[in-house]
Amino acid sequence: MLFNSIEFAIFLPIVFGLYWFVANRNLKLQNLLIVASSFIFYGWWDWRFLLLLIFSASVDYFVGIALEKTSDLKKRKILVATSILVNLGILGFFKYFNFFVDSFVDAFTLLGVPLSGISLKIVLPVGISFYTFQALSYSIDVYKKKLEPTHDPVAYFAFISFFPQLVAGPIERATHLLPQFYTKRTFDYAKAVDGMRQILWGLFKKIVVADNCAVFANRIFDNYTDYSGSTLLIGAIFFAFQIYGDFSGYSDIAIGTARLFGFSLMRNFAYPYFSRDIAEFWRRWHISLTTWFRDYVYIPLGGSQGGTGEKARNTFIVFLLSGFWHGANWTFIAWGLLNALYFVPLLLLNKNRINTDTAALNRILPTLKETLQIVITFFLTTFAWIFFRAKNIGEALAFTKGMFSKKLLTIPSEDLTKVIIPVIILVTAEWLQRNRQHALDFEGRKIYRPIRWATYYAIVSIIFLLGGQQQEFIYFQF
Amino acid sequence: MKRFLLLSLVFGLPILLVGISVEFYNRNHNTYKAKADYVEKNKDQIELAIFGSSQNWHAINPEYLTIKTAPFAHGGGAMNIDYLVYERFKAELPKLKAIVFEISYQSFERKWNSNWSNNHLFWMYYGINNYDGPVPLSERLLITANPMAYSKKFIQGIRHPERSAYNEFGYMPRNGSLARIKYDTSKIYSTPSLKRRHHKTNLNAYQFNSDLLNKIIHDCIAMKIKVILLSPPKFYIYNRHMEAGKLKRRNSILDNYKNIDQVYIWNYERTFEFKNEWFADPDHLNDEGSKQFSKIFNERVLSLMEDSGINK
Repeated sequence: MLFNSIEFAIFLPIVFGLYWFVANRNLKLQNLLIVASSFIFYGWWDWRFLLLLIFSASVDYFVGIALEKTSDLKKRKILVATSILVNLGILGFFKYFNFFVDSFVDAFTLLGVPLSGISLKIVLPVGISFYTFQALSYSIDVYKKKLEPTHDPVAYFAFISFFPQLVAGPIERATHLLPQFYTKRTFDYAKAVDGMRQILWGLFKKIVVADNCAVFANRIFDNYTDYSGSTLLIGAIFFAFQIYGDFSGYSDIAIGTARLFGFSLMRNFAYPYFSRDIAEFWRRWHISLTTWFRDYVYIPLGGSQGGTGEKARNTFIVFLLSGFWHGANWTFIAWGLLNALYFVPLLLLNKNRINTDTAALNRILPTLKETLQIVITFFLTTFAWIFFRAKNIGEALAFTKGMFSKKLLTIPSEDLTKVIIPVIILVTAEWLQRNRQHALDFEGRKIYRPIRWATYYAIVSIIFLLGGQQQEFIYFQF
Repeated sequence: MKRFLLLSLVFGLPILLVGISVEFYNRNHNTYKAKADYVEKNKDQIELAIFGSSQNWHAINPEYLTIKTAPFAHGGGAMNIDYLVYERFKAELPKLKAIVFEISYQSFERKWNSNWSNNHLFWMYYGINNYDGPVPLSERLLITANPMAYSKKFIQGIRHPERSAYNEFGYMPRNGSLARIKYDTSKIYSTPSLKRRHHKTNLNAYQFNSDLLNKIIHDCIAMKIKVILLSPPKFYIYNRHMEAGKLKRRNSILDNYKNIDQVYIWNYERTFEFKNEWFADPDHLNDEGSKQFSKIFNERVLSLMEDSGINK
């Protein structure tokens, strides 16, 4: 079920009504309702993949209980390794099987030993990378004794399958989300209203910004040989806004929806395109995945504790894994590598924590230096997005070559007004609200209701009148 | 909670009212309804049925035809949808003497499945189910099937009713990109979306549609209905940039029907190709082009109906 679909618009009020009016007196019943509605939400795509979700989650549940029963380090290691192997095994099979077979065959063919590979028709279960990582966080945290294992299967399955964030995050930590299922939720008007606002802003980002940018970005990327350098650059910029609108829009809707049910999910995006360097960008982009890799890969590898070489190695590993997490394609690995190349110099020069505050703090406009920093960072990330978006490395290189041709300085050959207006609205609203959780976060501000409501109605009208053709969320494929 | 629900209701009510207006307006202002109503009213007298995509739809204005025609060509149409419409109506058109199927270059490599954005219109107005199962809930109302598109149509219909005007046959003049760029062909060359139309290939659809056409043709022959395989006029830039393999595949299907009795291949692709001012865009005629072509088409159909045999 897509967040931007009529089915979800019907589903959400029904679940909301049952949750607060029927199941409100019994915590277990509320959790059970969440599990049932999450299964319906997920099964809407393909109910068969529910079995996979249940299996993967059950393994971690029982591993958690088994970990509690033993203090023998060797046994504990075997248990956590079982959880990791099962989760990554499922992920590896569904997501990477064909990639590894093809790469193996290609490598041998290059060496002059042609092999015939097998290719299975594997359908990627929606959101598998997200819920697998969430389940892994549970068993690893129990292993590290950061978390008591749960004996409440309903709360546990509610945590794993919580529908607002099940298919595209934020990837929650068990330490943060699971305890919320143990405590009674009470309806909070301010939180619910803020949740609605965040949902509205998320819909704007997805339907108006991302879906409109997608039309142009797809057209330009699909016919890149026919376009001038300037149009290719515009195509890359539109893709940058498409993926931001798409993914952060999803996160906004997820976080807003969770708030309606009394839950607090972690922030996933913090205005990444206003970052002044790449390190800041990675503190603001897909925060739940970045911190997951930091906590479960980077730090266990030694983090920044070792020498220069170790720091660089760990950073490269994390970025390459992060690229590979996105999909079984060399383009994602190249994207990760590029970001590592951007990031490592800052790390080695100890300049990765210079910009930890918000750009132009206490001012409306940034200084010239800040503007330059923001623009350069944006173009660096946009350049990396070319590799993320291209079908293969050859296409990404050809696109780049076309972009840096003499025609980079010509006038773009597409009429772009329909897309530029939503992007301007997005950038302006988010810039003005960059110290807040989201662009419509009015909490604690006294703004007259008619003005607030006029703003909401204006956004609803823009969604209906400027909305692009419905596209699936990009991150569903990951 | 009460406050939240009350305010949500008050906030949502105007949106709901606008939604109802959008639904009501679009239900009564759309070319599918016009076509379905026309067919329903004239089904006992209809002698010709025209199927196909927007290329046929904008090429033939039944206003200029002297025989009663069922206008079944639709924007974005595909052969598998045409087949469903044909199956649905063939028994209800007792006087049907000829049908037109589109054999444009793109016709065979397009197939719409359950996700097609226009399925709801075929279900609502023709009773055709192209979904994998029962009609989904969201497809039962226009506003829920495609809220954005119908909201835009509603606003456009109120602001510029002339732009969405159509006649009783559901024919609508097309105003396209060529007029906007003042027929400057150099601009077409620098706009890939105008130059390289329909380059996507789909061999599965090709196989499926060629089998489907064969089935329809044999069905029509058995019912003594003449089959006209029509490709309406295209602009020269479109013709020049057809994807060679795709064109060859299309032509190989036509070769199968060259010498079949009751089957007529009318390929007008290059007939008007340099008449800039008759095209809305590289693959659609504008109102004037449609008028000219409809007259030519009418004469030829009349000859065929009289069974003069000159068109074979």
